[in-house]
Amino acid sequence: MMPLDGMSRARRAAYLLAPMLVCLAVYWRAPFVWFRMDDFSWLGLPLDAHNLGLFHVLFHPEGQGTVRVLSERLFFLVLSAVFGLHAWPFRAVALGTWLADLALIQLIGARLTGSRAAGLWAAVLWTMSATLVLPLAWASAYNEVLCAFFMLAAFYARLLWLESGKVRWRWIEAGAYLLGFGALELMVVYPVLVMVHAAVNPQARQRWSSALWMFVPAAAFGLAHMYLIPKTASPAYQLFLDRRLLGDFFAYVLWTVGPSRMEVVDAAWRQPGIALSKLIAVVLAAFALWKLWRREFAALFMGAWFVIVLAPVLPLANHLSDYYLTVPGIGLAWLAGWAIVSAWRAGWPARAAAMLLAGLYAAGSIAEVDRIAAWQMNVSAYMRVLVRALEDTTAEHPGTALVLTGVSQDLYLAGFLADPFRLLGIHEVWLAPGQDQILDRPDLEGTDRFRTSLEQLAPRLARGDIRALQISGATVVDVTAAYSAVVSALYADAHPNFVDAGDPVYTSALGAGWYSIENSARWIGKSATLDIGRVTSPQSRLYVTGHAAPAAVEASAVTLRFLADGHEIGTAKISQPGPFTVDFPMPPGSAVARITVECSRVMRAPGDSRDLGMILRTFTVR
Amino acid sequence: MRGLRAALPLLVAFLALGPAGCKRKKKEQTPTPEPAAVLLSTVNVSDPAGAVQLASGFFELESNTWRWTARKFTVVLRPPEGAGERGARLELHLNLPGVIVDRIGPVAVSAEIGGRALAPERYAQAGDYVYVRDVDAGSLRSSAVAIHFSTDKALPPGGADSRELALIVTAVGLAAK
Repeated sequence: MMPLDGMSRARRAAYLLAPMLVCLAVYWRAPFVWFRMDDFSWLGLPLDAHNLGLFHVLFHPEGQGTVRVLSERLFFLVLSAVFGLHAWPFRAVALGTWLADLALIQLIGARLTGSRAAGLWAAVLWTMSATLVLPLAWASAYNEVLCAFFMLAAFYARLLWLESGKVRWRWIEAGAYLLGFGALELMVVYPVLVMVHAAVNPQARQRWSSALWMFVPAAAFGLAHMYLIPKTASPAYQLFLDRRLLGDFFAYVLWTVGPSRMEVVDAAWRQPGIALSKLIAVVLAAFALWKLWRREFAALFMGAWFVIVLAPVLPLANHLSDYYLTVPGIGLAWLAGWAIVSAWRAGWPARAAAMLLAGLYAAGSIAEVDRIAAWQMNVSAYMRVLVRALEDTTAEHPGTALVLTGVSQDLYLAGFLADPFRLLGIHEVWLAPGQDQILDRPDLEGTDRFRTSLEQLAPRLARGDIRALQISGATVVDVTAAYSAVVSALYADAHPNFVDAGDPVYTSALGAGWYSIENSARWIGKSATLDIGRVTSPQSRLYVTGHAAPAAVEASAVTLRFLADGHEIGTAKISQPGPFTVDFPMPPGSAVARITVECSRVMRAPGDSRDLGMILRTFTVR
Repeated sequence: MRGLRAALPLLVAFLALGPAGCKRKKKEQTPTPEPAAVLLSTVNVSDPAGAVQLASGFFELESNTWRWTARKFTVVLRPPEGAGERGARLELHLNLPGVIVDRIGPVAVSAEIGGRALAPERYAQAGDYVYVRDVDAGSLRSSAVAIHFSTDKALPPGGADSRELALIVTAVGLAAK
């Protein structure tokens, strides 16, 4: 049967458009989700192509040891090269591909079940699943959507070939199958799917040998993947072939068939959601058994599709991910669509039960999608605001380093590890010391590269080499002046017994009477003050270094009088030009002493209206 | 007061630049404008303008009102006018949540400025408190001071929360005497 035969053009369009419109209604937020996490690694591909060459960018294994030339390399390389840091083209391509997937799900479902309505229901049900949020709203998961397209396209072409015998469909199947390897490694299971289909379908069984060649590229790809591509050491991608497989399998089943994660909406809905999912799973299993009892083996193929396509990722016990269900779930969607149509034809009680279950599934799934997509949109929006602010900052201060305050856990996880900063030419980015909510989290990866110290920051902030940005929700503010003052105070607090008047880091310790820094020191006028910490030793002394300019002592010596908290601690007569060091006993007193330096006279330099007393540099109490 | 604070940098800039405009080619006549002038003497933890002064030990803003702190937390404040001569009053507005008292008992809060410890205060009941201490002038002569707070104990990380939790803080400041 041809699914669209006998339909008017309008009905045909309505038939194909219905699931697409449902998809766009459910996933209305997807176009507004920005980049996050791994996206920033892939968005750097144009930079890598420039530095490392196109071949490296297209074929060098990355991430978890994958080479997905079409769904990751070319997808990001082309779109980011053309559109830069704009996410909407990525979303448009993902949604467009998924709409094509939905049409293929419909058409294949209609052929497998002999019911257009079953195909329609399958596409509608599956596009409402919350497991699709990531594939549709995260560019790095586009590989799932594209793999679904190639797998469905290849299989649909096969069905058309089996039906028509036209050889062009075999070429299309072969092309889609081989291109699928550029989307996702999952494509290796396609020959197995074809064999299972041949086993359950008499027409396909007669031509089962036509698929044998497909095992060759699958095996070659598998061997190349196994022996040529270095494996990641990440525990997340470690394979476990133990009893966890069964538990994870059932977890995947529940994620597929119902709203089993309603806690994202409200914790109170968690258990009802799980209960509903289990009920749907039992009903679907019963339906499949009933179909098998009636020797309608397409149900076996649908179940096998789920199991076979899920099998490669099932051993990843540390990386259970809902988006892994994008392609496997299609098998159960066909089964569910078929079940609804069968129930509809079985009379009012079955019809009502099916509609109730489908309605509850839809309500729960849409609520899940709404919450998960909203979270994705918010988190990625914060990342977008930050990146745009960084763009402005680097445009205004080329080559600057950055220190960030107020980075939340969600924002950090949204992309810091994938280094979005290199996309803007920023190579030095730190979280402000004291951002303990991130830096002291042992469970967060990669925090070390964002760690710095007051000792590293203070001098560079004082020199103006670093801009400080404060992030507060969706607001990013340049707080360089305030943060410099904070760091200066913290630095002085950490180094209480020393002041370098020639280092802007110590500005907060200086009182009145100091001119701006010249040659790593400062002139004072008639007098100047500064604060310095005492030490507990009764024998402690104050050591002062300075430099006598020839003009200052040319006429006569300058006498410097030193006071601590208003009490004189000594005088020094500076008569020779050049550097000098003087020291005096420090009397006991409060933790911080106010030091006053008084000059016996001041002078004026030609062209300079300042009253110049003496050049002073460091003060040390020890 | 906020308006005056905002106007202060402009005023300083005007005073610094004004003479330069009148007497071209002359070098700077006054010391460098004080960068700490942009800091606040009292920081409301919900005020983004003061967030940069919450130097360490403060967690994310919650309910747009308050923040959890770790056992040790530090804030940088600008001493109020005249504090270098008369001293100032340190005020920490805190809440001791029932969950803390129930699980770890009474909590003592203390502070330290410029190496000088301020007397601790012990809080045995859950509720709102203000930890108030006089700070001597000698500790407040800098244009900005780091104030280190600590509690004698805190709720350790565990369960769903990986943070060490001690107090809920709404504001901290130095008030003129």
